[in-house]
Amino acid sequence: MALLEVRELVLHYASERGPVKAVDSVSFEVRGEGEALGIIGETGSGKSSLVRALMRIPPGNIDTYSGEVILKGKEIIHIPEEEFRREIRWKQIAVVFQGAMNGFNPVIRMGDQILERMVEERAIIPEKRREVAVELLKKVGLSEDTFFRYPHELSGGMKQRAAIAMALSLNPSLLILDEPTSALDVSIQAQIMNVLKQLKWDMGLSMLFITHDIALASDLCDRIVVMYSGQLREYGSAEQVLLDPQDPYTRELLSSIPRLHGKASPHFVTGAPPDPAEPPQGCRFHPRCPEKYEICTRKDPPLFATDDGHYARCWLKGKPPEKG
Amino acid sequence: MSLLRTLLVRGLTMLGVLLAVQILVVVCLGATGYSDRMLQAVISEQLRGMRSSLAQTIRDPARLEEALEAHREELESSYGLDRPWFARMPGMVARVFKLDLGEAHTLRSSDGSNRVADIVLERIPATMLLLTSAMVITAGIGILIGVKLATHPGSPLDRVVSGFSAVSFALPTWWVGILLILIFSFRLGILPTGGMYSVPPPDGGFARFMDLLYHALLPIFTLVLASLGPYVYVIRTMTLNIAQAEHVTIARAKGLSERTVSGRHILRVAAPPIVTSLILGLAGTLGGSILVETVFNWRGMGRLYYEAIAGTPDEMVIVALTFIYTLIYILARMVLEVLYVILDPRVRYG
Amino acid sequence: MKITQSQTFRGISIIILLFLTVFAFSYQPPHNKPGPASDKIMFHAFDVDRAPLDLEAGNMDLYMYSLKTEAAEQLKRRGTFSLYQAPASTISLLLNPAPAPQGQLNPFSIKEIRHAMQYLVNRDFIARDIYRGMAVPMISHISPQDFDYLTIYDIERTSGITYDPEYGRQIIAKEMRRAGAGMADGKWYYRGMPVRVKIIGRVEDERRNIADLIRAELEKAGFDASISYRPFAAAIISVYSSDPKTFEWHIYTEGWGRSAVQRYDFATVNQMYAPWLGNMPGWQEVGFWQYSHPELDRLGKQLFRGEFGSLEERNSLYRRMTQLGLDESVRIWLVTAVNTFPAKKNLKGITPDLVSGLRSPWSLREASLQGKSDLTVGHLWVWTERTTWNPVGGFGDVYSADIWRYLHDPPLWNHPFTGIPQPMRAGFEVETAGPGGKLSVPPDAVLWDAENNRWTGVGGGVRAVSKVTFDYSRYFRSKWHHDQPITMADIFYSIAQSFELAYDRDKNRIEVALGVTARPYLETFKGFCPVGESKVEVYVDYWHFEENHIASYASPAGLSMPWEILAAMDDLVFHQRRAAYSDTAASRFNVTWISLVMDRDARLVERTLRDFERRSYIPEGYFNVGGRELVNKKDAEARYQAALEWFRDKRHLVISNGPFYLSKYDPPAQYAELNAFRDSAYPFKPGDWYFGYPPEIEISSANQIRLVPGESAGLKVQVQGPGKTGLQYLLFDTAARTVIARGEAEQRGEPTEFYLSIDSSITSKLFPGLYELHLIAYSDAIAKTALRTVDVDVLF
Repeated sequence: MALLEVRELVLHYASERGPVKAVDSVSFEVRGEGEALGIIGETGSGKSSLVRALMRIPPGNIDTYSGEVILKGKEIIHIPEEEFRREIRWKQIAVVFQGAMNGFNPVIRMGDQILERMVEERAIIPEKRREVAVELLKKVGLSEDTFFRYPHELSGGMKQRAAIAMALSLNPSLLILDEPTSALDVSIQAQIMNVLKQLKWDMGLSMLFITHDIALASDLCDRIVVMYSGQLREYGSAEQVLLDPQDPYTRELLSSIPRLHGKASPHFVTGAPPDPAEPPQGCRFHPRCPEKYEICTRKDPPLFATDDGHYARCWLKGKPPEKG
Repeated sequence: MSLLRTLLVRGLTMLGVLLAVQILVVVCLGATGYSDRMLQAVISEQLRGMRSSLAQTIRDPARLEEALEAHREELESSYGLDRPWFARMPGMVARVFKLDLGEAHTLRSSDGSNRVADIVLERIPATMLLLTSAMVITAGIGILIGVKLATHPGSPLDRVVSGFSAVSFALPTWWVGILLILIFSFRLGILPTGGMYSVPPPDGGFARFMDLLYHALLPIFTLVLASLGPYVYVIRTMTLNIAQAEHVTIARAKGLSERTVSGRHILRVAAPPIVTSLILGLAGTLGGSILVETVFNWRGMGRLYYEAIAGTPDEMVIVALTFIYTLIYILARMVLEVLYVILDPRVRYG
Repeated sequence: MKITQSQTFRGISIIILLFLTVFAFSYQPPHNKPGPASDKIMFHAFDVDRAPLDLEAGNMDLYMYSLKTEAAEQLKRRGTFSLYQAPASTISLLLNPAPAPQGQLNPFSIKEIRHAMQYLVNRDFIARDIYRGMAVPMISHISPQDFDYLTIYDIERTSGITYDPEYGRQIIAKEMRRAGAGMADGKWYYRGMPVRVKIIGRVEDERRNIADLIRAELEKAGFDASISYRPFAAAIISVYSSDPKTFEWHIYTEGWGRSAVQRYDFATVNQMYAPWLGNMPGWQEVGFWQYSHPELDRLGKQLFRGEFGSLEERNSLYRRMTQLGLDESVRIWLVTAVNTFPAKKNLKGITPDLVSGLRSPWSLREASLQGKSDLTVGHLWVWTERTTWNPVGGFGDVYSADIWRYLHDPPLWNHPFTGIPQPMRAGFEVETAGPGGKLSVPPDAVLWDAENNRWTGVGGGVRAVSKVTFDYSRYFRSKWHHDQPITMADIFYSIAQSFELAYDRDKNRIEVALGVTARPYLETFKGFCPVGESKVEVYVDYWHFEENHIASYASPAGLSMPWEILAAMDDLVFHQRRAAYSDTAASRFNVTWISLVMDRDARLVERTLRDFERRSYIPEGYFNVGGRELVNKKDAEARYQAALEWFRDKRHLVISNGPFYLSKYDPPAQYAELNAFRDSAYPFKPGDWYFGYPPEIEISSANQIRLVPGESAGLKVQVQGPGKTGLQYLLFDTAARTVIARGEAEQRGEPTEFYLSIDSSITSKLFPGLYELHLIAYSDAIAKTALRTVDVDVLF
């Protein structure tokens, strides 16, 4: 049984121009036991909305919010809010957001914030607070006196690590990381990645790692999902997706990574990501696809299996429906 | 201790402000010649009045002039006009800094003392009653409503209150006071028209105090009404901004109860800017209280200030009162600044 | 030695008394206990803008401060309250006559242009519209409400001053051109610059609207007029403290409060026209440009000093000054505004004073609400910081005076209708040898020797112009509020006190101004002589053709406070140096300005009294008069003890002898309480001082009279009024603005019937044209006149 099963998750925002299809019927699963699933996508692909949809913290203007999310066999999207808050949030699933710079309350000390949820869970006795906090801090490689600091006294990297420590406080089964290193410089990035790898190997922590940085994903993730315009375009194991991409978008994406050696100028994906309020008819990538056919402009392809556990959303990979 | 140092710096700045204000007052009164001319004019006016009454008993024009000259000299020396302003006023400022507030020329306390300290001391409780009540009530209501509105931005209630805030900001305090008197004292007859006590005043300490409170209701209400609006709006907006901050989303994602989120992650973070807006509104409230006291015939310091300026200018009282008002402002500001520093760790200089 | 005048006046007094008795029957006093009509009077402060509402709410029974015009009009219309009106203030325009610097022109430096302004002001509009009828137009400095109006009213008529803007502009045009100005586009230009006129208008009252009106007229006359609206403080700085030549103002809206009813004015006419008194532009300030007029000064000083031998001489001085004043037109008179005091309709016993309305000394003595024994009086303030209760240097503001008035009985006061001094609690008899002669002063008459602190006989050879014998028995048979007898000691202490203030060198150094003021007055006193138990003879160098004025001048002691209080205050001020009588001395020596209602000050006096009692102290020399010892140890002790007892009970030291005593005084609450003083020997009871409404003088006659040139004519006129009435007339040529004939009408038959005849020699001078017959009626029983204009039809 998979740890997390997502079935046809939909999150559309309401706007003056019609519903914004941020997450448009997404399905995947995270296998558990220390598996890291990477979700790669550009800006506007809907990956951050996916996190919100999973955590049930959508913004105010929802148009559609449906689908199923099954955690350890139990559906969690449709249970009462209070139950979700108490049982699932942070206890089962924890999140580390992108801009941890502002993710902390500026007037409260780090230690208190890290322990906050635990305290509310009554999972900790006052005397043990310091001890527990220090332990969590050690896990992410932070020193003891971080406990007493205020957020503004820490660097970006330290804050991000603290965010990870905070997320681990209740021993969640799944850790979602939304662009955890985008705002950091490369050396710090490496440190964070090491921390994550450590957690993955030592604690067997399952993760959902969302990023636009393919290299990072390749470093950490076991399986990868490629997202575009609110949909999954390809998913499979890291080797499958990165070494043998089946979907034109994935291929374009990968070929746009500049090579260290070689004279060729970098390739880039032409055009711009589609407007989520008005996605193109048919295959959403077709306006930018170098391999498009007539059918691509009319009909949106489903996910076709191309290999064992490898899927791609492209008419090229499967039989189009009968004409007529 | 960075905390202490911050506060020390602030404290010294405030002291500098106090000194600067005093110098300004003295220069305004003296260098412009306003004080001298004003007092000369008042003396001349008094003498003109005396001419007709002296004429009743002194029938020799020459002796009449003599008598008037004697009166004039007396008046000039008593008003201090026998010395130029820069000789007499710095002395006043120096005295005031030593907390010796001097003597008033024409104004007196109700038991006859002309020492400014006595006059002012007598009036301070009256002003403090209005000021502190109004400020506390305004702050309290402001926070309650402001935060409430921030949780439902754009709602009909939000729009109504925001509209009211704009109106309240524009309303002159004295006008609101008069309007309220019209409504509550004359139309409805449930509150007194002004003054501090009734006719005849009740005997006994407690009854007298209750009578005082009864008379204080409308003035306080006026002050609150006039300053509440912008305050509510500022709090609402600040809280709203903070409510949309990232750490609030994360706090929710952490699975914290809504109460914890609004209490610790919104309000607690909004507290410093709220304190700032209190500081900014302070000067306005002080000034407004002067007008309210005048409209409601409330014998407090504001009324005294008005009388000392608008009537016969009483230099010592003006200098002393400016000092006191600035002092009040500074002290209140220091309290708020300390509060701010305690609330917001980010401003503690390393 | 003329004593016939006193007989005449006694005769008049009897008539008045008779008249009053008739009147008195229509008023029923509520009781005949000695003292005032009401048992208790409560004073409380009410803001003038809220007064009508407070009245309606029943918070007060009458209001002793004038209502604003609009409020008065409203109440008048609604008719729910009685309104007592009295002329209160006169409004004038002051023009700046200073010459402009080279290259500029001040139109008001030209006399004719100033005079032209008289035609540009619409006095009727101001009285009728701006003051809503609560004002009376004025052309000279006196109004028909003044007695002296009779003296100068024909001057007013012949002046021809009326609202005639066309005519005014004509004169202005002529004079402006003569001065070198030219008109372009309806505006005056002098050397290329428009002629600017700056008006300073006071904002606190209707003068604001008047300023607007004047500006409009000036603009129409071609001037570039601007108004600076100023409150009191800002206005007086510019007008009275600046050199007129700096032209901070060209016109200022002045307002004058009226003092008591005065017959035979000598000060006002000087104040308003003669530069020497310091009330004309320049203000007699060293360094300022001064408006000067030698003739006005000369005549003015003569009038002021009393250098005339008869009523006629005096009148001619007065007339000439008024004429010159009108010609000079530096002050242009607009209206006399009326004060309006509201009171409940069932308030009885009020005698409104001709000038101060409700605030007369008689009102609250006699006032009571039907069926009630208490009265609540409203005023703008009960206590202000300048309200200081001391009889030597205090009582300077209305708020103290208006309460104090009912706490003490003066020896004399002015009759409410005629303004002539009358006996109140002291009787008097006048003997005079003036204006030319002198009486001899008995050698044992005494004067206070301030240097040696004793009464010394004046010795032989001293002479004085007049002698007044005062009878204080109505005082002596009753008591002070603290139950101590009023005695000769109180009188003589008071006299000595004034001499001390004037002549004791040490005291002069302390209370400088008081001394300088008192000296010229006290110099005229030549001796005092106690006679019998209750009389004092006063010898003084003063003469007036009306005897009662001599008595009023000569009254030596106010008898408002008992000697022990005065002595304690003297000790406090001059010996202990812990208080002062005047505010200037108080601020100079940094001591309190003594106010007997203030707790702190009263305690200082109390302490002094206790000290006096302990030492059995009697002020040295004060009570040894002509061999008599007026006070012994026992008397003194009793006095001190009574005063201390009073303080213990009341916490203040305001002790006097009037119909009310002060029981409570609460400054922060703006409240004062007066209780009736019902000593059985108090000489007055309700009804004794009730005069009622001032009687009216009314003229009735035909509206028109026909004159045939060459024929004599007559007109019957009815005059209703109190006392002895008289009627004067003017036959006036309206077009030429001249008086054709004037005279006194004859009384025929009934006392109300008058007949005036116009001789054929006069009527033969008449041409076709507009004529008017102006009638002015007067009475010796009231300081008012009545006017009537009759149209004249000339037939050919």
